[in-house]
Order: sequence, then structure tokens, then C-alpha cells
Amino acid sequence: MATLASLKEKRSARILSFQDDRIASKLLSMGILPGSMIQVVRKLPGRGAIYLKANGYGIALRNHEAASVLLEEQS
Amino acid sequence: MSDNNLPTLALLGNPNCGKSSIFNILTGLRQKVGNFPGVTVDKKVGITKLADQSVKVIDFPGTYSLYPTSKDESIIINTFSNPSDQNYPDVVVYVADVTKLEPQMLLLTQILDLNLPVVLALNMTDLAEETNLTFDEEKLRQELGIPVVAVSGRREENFDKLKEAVFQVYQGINHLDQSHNAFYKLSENEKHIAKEINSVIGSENDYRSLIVAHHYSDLNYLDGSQKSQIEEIVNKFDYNELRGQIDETMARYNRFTPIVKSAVRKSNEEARSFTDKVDRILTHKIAGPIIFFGLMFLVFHAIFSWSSYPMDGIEWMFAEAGTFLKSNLPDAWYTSLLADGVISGLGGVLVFIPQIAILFLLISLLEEIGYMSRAVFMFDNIMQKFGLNGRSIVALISGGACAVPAVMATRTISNWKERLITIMVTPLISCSARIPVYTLLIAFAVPPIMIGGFINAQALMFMGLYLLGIIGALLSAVIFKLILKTEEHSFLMIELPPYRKPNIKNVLLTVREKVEAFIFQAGKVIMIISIILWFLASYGPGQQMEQAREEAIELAQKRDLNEDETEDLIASKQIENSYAGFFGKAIEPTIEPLGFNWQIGIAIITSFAAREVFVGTMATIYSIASKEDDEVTIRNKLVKATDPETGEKVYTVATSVSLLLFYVFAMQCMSTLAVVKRETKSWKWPTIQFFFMGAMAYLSSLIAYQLLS
Repeated sequence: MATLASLKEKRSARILSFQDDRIASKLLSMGILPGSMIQVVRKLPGRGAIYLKANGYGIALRNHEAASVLLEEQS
Repeated sequence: MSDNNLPTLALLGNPNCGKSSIFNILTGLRQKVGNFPGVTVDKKVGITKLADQSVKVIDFPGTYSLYPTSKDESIIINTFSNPSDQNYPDVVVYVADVTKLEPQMLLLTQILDLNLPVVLALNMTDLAEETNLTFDEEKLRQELGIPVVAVSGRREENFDKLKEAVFQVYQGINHLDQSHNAFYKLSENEKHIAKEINSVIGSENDYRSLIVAHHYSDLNYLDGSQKSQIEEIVNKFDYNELRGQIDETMARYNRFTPIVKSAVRKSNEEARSFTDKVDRILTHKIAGPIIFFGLMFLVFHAIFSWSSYPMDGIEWMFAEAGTFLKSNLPDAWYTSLLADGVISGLGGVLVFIPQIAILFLLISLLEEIGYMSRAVFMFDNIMQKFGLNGRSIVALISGGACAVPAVMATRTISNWKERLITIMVTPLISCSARIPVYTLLIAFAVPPIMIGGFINAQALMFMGLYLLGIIGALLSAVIFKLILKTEEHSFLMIELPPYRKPNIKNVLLTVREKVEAFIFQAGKVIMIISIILWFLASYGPGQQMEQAREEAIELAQKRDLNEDETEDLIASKQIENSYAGFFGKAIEPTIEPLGFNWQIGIAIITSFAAREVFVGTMATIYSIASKEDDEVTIRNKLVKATDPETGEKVYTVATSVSLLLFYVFAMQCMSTLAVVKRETKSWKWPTIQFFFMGAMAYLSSLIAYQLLS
């Protein structure tokens, strides 16, 4: 299953679902929903934090936080 | 401020919507910082005037929705779902950044569904102009059914209009139909839940009850029986909290997205393009950290160099005031209390102001611009390995100048455990007050030779001491990480807002707030301790002080000393016979294994006021003319110091290294302890800090002395 943590830098994908309620709650609060497009702006080396862009927001998530966000398979 | 009977205006909005600028403009200098009951979340309260009516303005923490993910945000749910809460507003000003209105409609429509009287303030109209964004206030007013006012916090535009609209809503004149169709229509299941919860909490608002169904376990105003009743209801209807939140959020977006689309026209699709370009450099894997350390070096440098003049000025002023009092008041105990206790204590408090002001000036400037969240993003991973947070790096680096403002700067760390560890270990970083002690003692520990012909051994030692402090801080952080338990989940999840011009007024108000907090809260403790230290150094058991004085005068006459030399000898003999001297001698057996004698014991006790006092106390003990108490003079005197019984030199390499290590680790600073007490709101943590740092100091000195002697 593709997760946000496995998405490559500068790539975008559509969110399928959330596996962690807290991360989900925060992203939902920012209007980032299942079906929203999300883009990886930067990934820090060594499983560091990930800089994301979605719904006009810039957001940083830890690697394991991003891993709890499932993505739709890209066609 | 007797503001308890005034009507309450709540400022609410997303983080980074410019809410604090609006708060600052509305309240000006009539504001203070308190705490929300039971939590360490700052509550900013001020007073403003609407027509002739004074109202209390509360600046609530920025939040994205009524589904909180942090302590700060849960304040909002506790207040806004409880009409009998003391902070429950009479009127709400919802602040929204007009350049990204859509996601901010989520919280707005939630608040509206709670039937609160709301005025929408569309902020950052100046930015909208710059980016050619146009918006239709009237359209929004019609669609939302509430007054809408476009303002600019930066240009301070349209605040009269805003106040007028708020006043009308407060009086119920322009309070448009609040029984409008709720923005979110509850599902059948949710309606049943809401109906049953309504009767448990005595609510008439279905949405309020739905929010309670979601958050009941975090709501402080519900009692145990209410909570268990609600739990039963939630279980009976098989309510899925996350599903509910997703459905509600999506339904709201479906409802307000068309409204925003019809009211706001963006001509520039990519509003973040500037931010993106800057971030390509500032968050770069290699350039990013380099730029950060460069900036922090500048901050560090500024604290160091800019603050030295005002600090010298403050010290001079208080020294002069002390001398003035002594020469103009009778030579009595109260003169000494005033001059050596109160005045020097006051000086000891005020001398920190330049450092605190400069640090927060620069830090809040970087915060306002939006840079700090990038630093957090870059260092979070490394800091986490030590049980710290990305934000800890700012405190640790500032600790190199002074731990007092550094500890105050940890407020931005929202996870309590990570914040606490940062507070506990920051004072281990060698601060500027250790420099005089290091300079004085290094000469005894290391000869001034060049290693390999070009590396100065003393400079190497200096660097080694700094490194030791850093290693000590990180290692103890790891230990605290293993010991401290917390239920609170650690998050990064931080917004990286677009870069923008800083609002200088906000920056200056932050500086003022930090300086005041230090003076009025930590200052009290510093005053009390410095009076105690004055007492210990000026009084002795029984008649010892008087006898010491007479003996000193006798001895001076025998040696044919001049007036100044006599004074110095008296001071030296008196401190030896004071309570401080008494304690110094009392702890001698304890510190002997470290290679310290009672003179060093006295200096350790008195330098608790501040580490640099060590140098001055050494000068007094060895009766060095007060005018010449620079490090070189004292050093020359100390070289000659010998043990009267054995005739051996006191400041051997072993003793000096041991003493240096002691000063690297020991918590020799009452001001830091006072600030830690303020920030952790208990004496527990400063006490633990005092003892764990003391233990580190004692053990490392013991090992070093035993190995070297």
C-alpha cells in the first residue's frame, strides 16, 4: 500500500484514507480530506521530517506520521 | 485590572491569521498575560472600548477547528462548549486571513453552529491588494448571515468599523438571524445522540451536544456521572468519532466552498510561489542547517556584544547607587541591607534585561517572518533522538549566552515532556557568566604552551569546557527521556506558513511581555535569595564579626598598612568569620576530596548569586583592593596562596581542573532556578535540577581531582 512516507520528493498524489486518528484530525482541521491532492515539497535525509503542501497549506510531518496517511494508487 | 464584570469579546481564528496584531491594536498597552485555569497555556487579556462600553478582550490560541489536537486548542473546546464558563464570550470576532479564506471557514461555521454572535474580520487586506486578490464583503455577509468587516492589521485600517459592528452585535441590533439553517446537518444517528446528550448537559443546541459526544473525556466542566452517561450514549449508538469528523468536515466544505468561490477572486493562482522559492534554499538539506547556524550565531553574537554596554551601564548605576547610600547614610545594618542586599539584588535582576530583550527581539522577529517553523522542521529528527523537540535547538543555542531567556524561550514547545527536558538541560550549556571563572582558572590548569607549535593549549581547554557542557546537556537529556513518563503524544505536525513581513509592533510587545514576566516573577525570588546571601556574608555567629574586625585593625597597625589595605584586610577577615565563612568551613570536609579548601567553599556559596561573583569573592577573601579586582591581579594573588598547615600551593593543576569542571556542571545561578520555577510552576523541577547538576559537578570534580593529584 502506498503511503505518504513513500511518496518521492516533488511528487503529488491523492489521499485515500488515514490510519492515525490524531494525524487525521489535524489534517482534516486544515481541510485536507480523503480525496485531496497532497504534494511532497522536501524530504529530509535519514527518515527525517517531510515538508508537504495541500489545500494551500505548508505542513511538516514526521516520517512515521506521514506513513499513517494512505494514498490512492497512481494510474 | 478589575475586569471580571465586563462583557467578554473573544478573538478566534486559525494560527497565522494575524490575530495577535488585531489583539494588539484593539487593546494597545492595556493587556496582560495570565493562564487558563489548570493549564500552562498563556491567556492574553486586554481591555478595549466599544462606543462607551469597556469590554474584556481574550486572545484565544490559534486553532483550525473544534477538534483540538493540542492542549492549547482544547482550551477552546472547553470554553466554547460551556456557556457557564467564566471565559465564555458575549461576542466573537472571528479573524480570517482573506488571502486563504476557504480552509478558515471550517472553524467559523462550527462557531456559528454553536449559535454564538460572531463578527467576521477579514484580515490582511493589504496583502490581498498586493496580490491582486478581490473579495466581496457583501456577498459573504448575505451568505453567512453575519457582519463582515475588511481590516488590515498591518496598516491598522478599518478598526473603527470593526468596533462599531462588534458593538451592534453585542447590543443585539445587527445580530442577524442565528436560527439560520445550521451549516452542518446532523445525520439521523447523530441527531439521536445529540437529543440524549442535550438532556444530560441541559443544552438546547444539537451541535454543541455533538461536540460534547466527541470530546467529553477532555471536558473539565463535566462531572464523573455526566461523563459515564455520555459514554453510554456514545456506545449505544455506535458513534465513530473519526468517521463523524470526516463526514462533518466534508459536509462543511461542500457547503462553504461555493460561497468562498463566489466571493473571493484570486488572480494569482500560486500565492505561495515566493515562499516556495525561498524554501528551496532555506530548507535545503545542506544549505538549510548552515544558514540556521549562521543566523543563530548572529543572534548569539548580538546578545553577547549589544548587551554588554547596557549591562555594564546597569551594573555601574547600581554600584554607584550602593556607594552613594553608604556614604550618605549612617553606618548601620539597614544601610548595608539597602546597599549590599536590596540594591545589588535589584541590580542582579535588572542586569538580565538587555539579554532577554535582545534574544526575544530577534527570536520573535524570526517567528513573525515564519522562519522558526522551518528550523523546527529541519532539526526535529535529530533533537528527537535526545528526547527533545525541533524547537529545543533555539533554547540550547541561546543558553550559550544566558540560560535565563533561553528557558523562557521554551514556551513554544507544546509537548510538556520535551519542553521540560529542554528546560532541565539548557543550563548545562556554558553561559557567558562562566567565562570570567574559566578565564581566571584555566591559567592554573593548563600552561600557556602551543601544542604542535600552533594550537594554544589554553584555548583548547576553553573549547573543551564548552564541549563538555554540550555533551553533558545532551546526555542528561537522554537520561530524562528514559525516566520521564508521559501520556501526551509527541507530534511534529506543524504548519509552515508563507513568509511575510514582520509586524514590528507585535515583536516589541512580545519583548515587553517577556521582560515584565522576568522582572515580576523571577525577580521576586532573585531579590529574596540575594538578601539571604547578603545576610550570610555580613553577619556571623556570636561576636565573631566584631572580633574579626578588631583583630584585622590590630594586624593592619602592626603591618603598617594604609587605609585601603586595612579596609581590604577587614573585609577578608570578616567574610572568613561570617555565616558564609562558617558554611564554607562546614562544607570543607565534603569538598576536600575535590581539592577545595574553605575559601573556595565560601566562593561556591556566594557565587550562587551568579557565577561571575566567584571572581569577586576570591578577591575579597585574599584581600585584594576592590579597585583592582581584575582577573590578572587575582590570578597573581592566587598563585601565591598556600595551605597554612602543609605549606603546599592551593591552586594546583588538580584543584584548578576540578574547580573548572565544577563550574561547567553545577547549577550555580539563582536567576535560572527562579525562571525554571516560574516556567514549570513548581519548586519540584528547579530542586531536581539543582541536585542533578550538583551531582554531575561533584562526581566529575571528584574523579578529575583524584586522578590528577
